[in-house]
Amino acid sequence: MSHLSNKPGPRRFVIIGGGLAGWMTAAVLARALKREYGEIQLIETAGASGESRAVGTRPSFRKLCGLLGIDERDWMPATHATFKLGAEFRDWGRAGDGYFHGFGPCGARLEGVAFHQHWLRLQRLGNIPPFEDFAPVAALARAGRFAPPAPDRRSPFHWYDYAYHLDRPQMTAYLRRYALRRGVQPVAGSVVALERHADSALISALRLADGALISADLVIDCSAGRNGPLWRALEVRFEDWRRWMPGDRALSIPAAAPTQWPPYSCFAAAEHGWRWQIPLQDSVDWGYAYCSDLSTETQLEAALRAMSPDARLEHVAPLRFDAGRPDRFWIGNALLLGACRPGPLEATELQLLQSGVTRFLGLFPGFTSGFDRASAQEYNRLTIAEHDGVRDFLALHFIATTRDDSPFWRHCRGLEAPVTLRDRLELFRHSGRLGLAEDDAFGEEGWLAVLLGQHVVPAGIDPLAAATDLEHTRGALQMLTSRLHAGLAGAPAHRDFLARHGLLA
Amino acid sequence: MNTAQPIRRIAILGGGTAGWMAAALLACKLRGLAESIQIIESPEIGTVGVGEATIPPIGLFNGALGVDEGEFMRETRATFKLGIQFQDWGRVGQRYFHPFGVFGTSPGMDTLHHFWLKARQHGETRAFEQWSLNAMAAQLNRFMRPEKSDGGLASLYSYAFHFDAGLYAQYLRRYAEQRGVRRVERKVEQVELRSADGFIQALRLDDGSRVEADLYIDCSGFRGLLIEEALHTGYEDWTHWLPCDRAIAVPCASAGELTPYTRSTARSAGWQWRIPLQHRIGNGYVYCSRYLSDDEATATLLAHLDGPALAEPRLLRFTTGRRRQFWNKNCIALGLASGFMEPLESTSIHLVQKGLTHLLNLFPDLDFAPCVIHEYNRRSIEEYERIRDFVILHYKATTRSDAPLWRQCQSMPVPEPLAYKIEQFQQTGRIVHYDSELFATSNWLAVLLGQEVWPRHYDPLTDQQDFAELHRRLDGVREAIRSAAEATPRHADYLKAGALIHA
Repeated sequence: MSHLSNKPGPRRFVIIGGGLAGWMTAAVLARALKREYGEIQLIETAGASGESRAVGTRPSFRKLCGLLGIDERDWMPATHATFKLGAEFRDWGRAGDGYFHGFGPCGARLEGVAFHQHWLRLQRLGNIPPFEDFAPVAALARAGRFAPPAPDRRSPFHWYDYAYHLDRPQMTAYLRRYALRRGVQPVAGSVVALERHADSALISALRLADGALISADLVIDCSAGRNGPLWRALEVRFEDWRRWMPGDRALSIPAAAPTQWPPYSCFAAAEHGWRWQIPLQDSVDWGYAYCSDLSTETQLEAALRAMSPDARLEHVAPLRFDAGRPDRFWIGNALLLGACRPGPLEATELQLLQSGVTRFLGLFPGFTSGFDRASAQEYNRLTIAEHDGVRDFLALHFIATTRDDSPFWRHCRGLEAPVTLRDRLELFRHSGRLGLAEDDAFGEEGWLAVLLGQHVVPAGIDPLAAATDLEHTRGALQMLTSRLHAGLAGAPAHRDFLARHGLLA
Repeated sequence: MNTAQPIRRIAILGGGTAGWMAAALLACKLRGLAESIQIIESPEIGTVGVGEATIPPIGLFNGALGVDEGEFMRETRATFKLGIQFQDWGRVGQRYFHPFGVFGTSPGMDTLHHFWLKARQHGETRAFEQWSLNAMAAQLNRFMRPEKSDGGLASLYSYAFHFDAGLYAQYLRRYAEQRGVRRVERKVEQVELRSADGFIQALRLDDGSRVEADLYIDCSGFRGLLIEEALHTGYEDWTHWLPCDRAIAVPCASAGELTPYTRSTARSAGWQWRIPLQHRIGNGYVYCSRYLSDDEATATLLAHLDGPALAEPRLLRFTTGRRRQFWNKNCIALGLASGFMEPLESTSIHLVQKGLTHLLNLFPDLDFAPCVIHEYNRRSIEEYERIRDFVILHYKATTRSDAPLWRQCQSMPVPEPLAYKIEQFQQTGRIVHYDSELFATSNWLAVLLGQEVWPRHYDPLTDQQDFAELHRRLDGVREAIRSAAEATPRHADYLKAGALIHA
């Protein structure tokens, strides 16, 4: 008969951290686990300080909404959310230029060859519009319009996706209410120590500052507490990414109400680092990220004052980013989520958090006396690969530049790419090939937008593109351009779309 | 800016299935780039044609050529294939089916096998393959192409073909020659290398003429006339994982109902294939010469045929493994020249197809940049080795102890990525997926469960569901699949009705 028996899974979940990461994790667990299955407690600790007020998401966030069963008409007004079709980048490759990284492709394959190869070919032959001009999603965004993808697969406006900008404190409160309605129990306090099982070294309980003891089968640390008791006890090492993305601090100032409704974020390279603008319904969140080794807070304040003379800077404490990853994410019966905090650039925060918690559900462990080591091993294998992919993509923004107009950018020019990125750049520079893994987090569209947008120009192109009939290629691009203009005309302005669908606060 | 000149002249050495696949696809896709594609076919080298069974991506290859599926089937005497039946692999007397396509009634029923594992713990005795439409239809000798439009169960069918590889090569030859490929029927006497960099300069033929090309495609078979004998690329030997080193092949007359699947029967020193075509059945015994003589193998094969043998049995020798590089300098090896993997999962033709796809995606200039060659080798070797692991699994996951081959395989250490995969499955019932892996979760599940590798645990979240309800759902899915399979026409009837039989 069967050799199969089953161990029950963990039943007592304790989440540390009352920020967006903690409550998002609580909400997902509360949704995925039936109430009678187990209990979920959340220790509400003051959140990490490296958090911008507005948060951009990536399109995968829509899956999370589906998983939670929450409706745009409910959560978008509640969090002052706007739609996001991508992000505009200014002055990165060199001062004065810009590109758009949209959630959709530029053009379509022609004669079995990637569109960008044809574009590269025409670019060498003379004047041709910028790469992004062939991306329907970029055209829509630049025009300040928003519409969900067209259902017709033959339309160029079918092949994109969209995401959101949302208000962190309001989304945190929203998910908190969601989680509380589903039985999550909040506990005020902060963890000062942990207790372990005598026989297995697994965590048995968490000791709070007030002396209370919270028993746990599984501990999920969403507090990003690198210096906290948990990380120390588990001997977690942190791989610091600052040598590839030097911005580690930011000043963010209270923002004015919006006059425009761009359906995209904006990231601009600047003297001390880079600035962001993330539009919400009631305000535009903006900030300036810099490197604490190269610039001082005083210098940043002066820079901000020069840009925005009316801004009130008296009570602004710098945000602290923490780009990097722990060497393991799942250790024994502890899971570390939200530990990678590189700032809002490319909106990786919620993406990593979301995949971190859904991957955990997919690899849900068994539990008796010892935790399922196999689940943890596979979890770490996948999560490390995912983080390293994010690292390479973010590093690309700082490495692919010819700027040398400030200490920050001169520093960037001397950065050495991670080996995996170096190999990818070599192949791309040779003939525009990408060599991505099938599950790359940003996909061809993301890599091409940044590579071409920051002037990583291949020396050669795919010979198959070079051999395509030139008039045929030109004709296809012209056709795309006219279909793109025609399709754009029907799309509503971003704000009108929000108003029409009852999505305004 | 790169000033490298384009490749204009391509020479393909060898006119077997691999050679003509390359000629046909390159003639189609390099219009406007290649000025000459020549294929040098020695009249003395026989074609091997062990790859008569295929897997579903073959449809993409034929689609890329734009060939009509009906015409292709008539010309190559093809039949449909829903998967592979494995007999006596996990243990003697046991049988399972490895179906193409998914388990369940829709793609993405990721938790289905966990439900089944739990049900099995509570006495479920029906095999997991009963939750596969392909497997159920195959069992009944039924077949139809997927009905993509209706969104019903029949949309889930996934298929490939059995065909006569010799006829397929001839079919592709006509296709390629119509598109300007020039065939030279000569033997290569000598390979001239450039002194500066060791690249292939020209092939000297037995009539004294020379063939000069920019890019050489070696489809010369096991020997690897260019990749190995001229360029000394080196070979990685895998016989410690896959000890079979010979095969004896023979066609026989058809008998009984036309099956829509390949059969693989494990025997004392290897395994026997059975591939049904329109006009005959292809058979072969892959074996390990350490444990069996050629005569014994021949006798065993001839004793296990459906009908009378139609030709003299042919003997093939091979060493399982791969070239250290598939692309070396200006030479790319395809088919048996690139390596040998026994056709247990019908991947021979697919590997040629995949090599060509990568070549087209990374088509070089005359600079033959190392980064492009490196990328080609990285992708190809990665895929090749994951397929190797899947084949090794069949030998490893057995409890047979009736013959030395099986005892050896049971206890052998396997490659690390495979060991990890098996360990993960045994611990958690989950399938690890690696990047760019051909065989997906459903394929691994079919073989692991089929060969009775039982996980110690199922997904604990399964316990959240009411067991009676879960059992009803399992029954519902199986019942829907059974009735869809029964509503499917008989394979032989479907071929006739579709006018797919060779006149």
